[in-house]
Amino acid sequence: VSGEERTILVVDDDDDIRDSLRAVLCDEGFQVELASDGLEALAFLHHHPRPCLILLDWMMPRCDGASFLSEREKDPALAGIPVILFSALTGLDADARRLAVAEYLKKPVDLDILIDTIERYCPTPN
Amino acid sequence: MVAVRDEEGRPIGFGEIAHEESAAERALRESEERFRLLVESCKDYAIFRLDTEGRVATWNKGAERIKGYRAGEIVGHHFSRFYLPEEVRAGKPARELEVAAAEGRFEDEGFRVRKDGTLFWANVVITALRDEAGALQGFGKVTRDLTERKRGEERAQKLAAEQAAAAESARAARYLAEASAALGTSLDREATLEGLARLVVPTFADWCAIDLVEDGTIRPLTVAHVDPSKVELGRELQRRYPADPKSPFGVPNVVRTGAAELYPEIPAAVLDAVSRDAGMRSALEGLGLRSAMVVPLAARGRTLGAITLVRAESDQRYDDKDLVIARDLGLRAGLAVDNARLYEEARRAISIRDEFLAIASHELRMPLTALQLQLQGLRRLVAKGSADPAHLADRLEKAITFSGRFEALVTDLLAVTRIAAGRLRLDVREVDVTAIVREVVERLSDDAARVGSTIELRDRGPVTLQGDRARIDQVLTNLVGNAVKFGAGEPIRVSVGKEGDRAVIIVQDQGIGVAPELHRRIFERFERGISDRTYGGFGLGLWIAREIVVAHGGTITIESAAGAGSTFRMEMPLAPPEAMS
Repeated sequence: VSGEERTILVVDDDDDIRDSLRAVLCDEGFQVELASDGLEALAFLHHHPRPCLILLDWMMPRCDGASFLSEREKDPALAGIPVILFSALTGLDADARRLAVAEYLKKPVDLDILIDTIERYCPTPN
Repeated sequence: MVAVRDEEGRPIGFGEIAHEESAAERALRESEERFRLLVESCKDYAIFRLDTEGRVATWNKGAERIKGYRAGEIVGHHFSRFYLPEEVRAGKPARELEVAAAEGRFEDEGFRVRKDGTLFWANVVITALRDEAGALQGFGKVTRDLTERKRGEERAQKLAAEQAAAAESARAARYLAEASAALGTSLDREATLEGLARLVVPTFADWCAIDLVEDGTIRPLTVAHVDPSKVELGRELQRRYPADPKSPFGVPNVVRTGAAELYPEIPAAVLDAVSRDAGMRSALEGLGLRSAMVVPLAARGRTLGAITLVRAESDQRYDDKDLVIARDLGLRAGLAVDNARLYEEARRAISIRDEFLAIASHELRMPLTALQLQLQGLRRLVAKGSADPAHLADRLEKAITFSGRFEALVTDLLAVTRIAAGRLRLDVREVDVTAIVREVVERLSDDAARVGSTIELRDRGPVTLQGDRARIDQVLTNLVGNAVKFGAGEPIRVSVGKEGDRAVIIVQDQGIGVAPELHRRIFERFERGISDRTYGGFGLGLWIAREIVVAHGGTITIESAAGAGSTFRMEMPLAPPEAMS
């Protein structure tokens, strides 16, 4: 497994959450890229090798989680990247299914569960 | 002395003969005697004769009983003393004799006067008496005392009127009960009133229109008539001719004065006054409006609108009793409307609270999520035995920062609750505003630096005022914090100084700005729906800021355009306003 396959794209408009996620995931050996909304995330994806996973917030300015996922669907190169929806909102299950989201975790989350879930999509190289 | 003649009629002598009464003559005399006795003894009728001049010639027992005079007291006197003085002055007795003389008979009912001056209700028949040659000999007069019968009739009439009134009040009570039931069926104001209007026609009105006062203007709500085409016509009239608020008649007047109007007959002058032009006048004319009432729709001392009730084709007229019912209806409807309003307000307050709780729980999860990530990350590091002290210290520092943000949100939340409950208490003392501004700028300089921005402070001399230090700090932290958050990394300018008797603080950024149409809304509570929310916080900061500044007797305004940065200007009086001290 190459280094790029262990890259996670964190998309969240909350500076504190974004920074905290980067810190804890780096400690676990992941490479972390940050975007503060859907547009920044799409721009990153168009210019960089594909990450193994996208950790996506739902409510964001300019381009929210739903808009980002709709754009992802249109692009076969992006559609294959698994997405973990990570939001403080409850009741997004239907949206998560409709938009082919792999997992739906609610904020705040137990870090052990978050890392276990991420490991399923970005396994640690032996 | 009589001449005695033979069979041929020749006189044969004179003789004085005793008159020998024939059988027929005797029978006639006896009959007349019986008749006289009958008349004289008749007690139920006054039967007497008048001479041609109207003087009483005979008198019977009945006359004595009914009128109170004995024969000796009244025979020879003119019969006009049986009449009321004003009738005598008007010539009534003489006229009655004239009629009887001319037509043979006169009959009348009316009050007559007894000897003692009391009145009785009499039926009087006067008959002309003539001899065989037709010459007027006098008048026969028969009078009956109808007082008892009259009283009976009056009692019967009164009873009938009482029964009618009882039926009327029963009808009104039933009607009001139905109306109350209809008014109680819904908490939707418009549905309630439309139901009422439908209930009113056609029993109580041919037309019923209800108008409501909203923001000081009269808005027609509903028109009811049994005929749908007429309803359409009524609506068309309302659309084309909105009520003139200055009109001295009708709904505008009732709404203005709170007093009801009753038109048993609608005067032409009122139709003229309410008609805006000839077209409206002829349309109203065409409706054949006959009678009308306009009553206030009122509750808790406020006039909320008016109910107009009109009689047209049913050709009935409203009276005071109808007005009482209509007024009652107006009060009941007013209460129903007011209850609907209160219910709506309560429901809105609940929905605002629910939305607020949703926003609050969501926003509180943000720093909580960051805090937990840091703490659980620490736990994992410690568990793995990774013990780089600088790394651990960095994590702890971040955790402490996030718990501070969490606390700030909780403080905001409490402030909102206090302000909403009207319990915002200011701890007023002398405050050095310039010092607070300086502190806030220093505190936020690091945050500004993180986004590549600087904060320039222009201090135009010391400014002190009477106020709540912590609250003013809260406002300034919010304003400067917003400038950092939305300032797009461009320099931020803050100035503080005195202008006249006011402290003026200006916070200016060159960031994303606020579109002019949103200027008013950004100071409102929960104006941003949760789905439009794009930036952190409750979206309450400016609302709280404004409430605090207003509590200090000050103002807060924004000058901005989208993309052109924002300038917030906060002014507070140096001397405390009355209400605050």
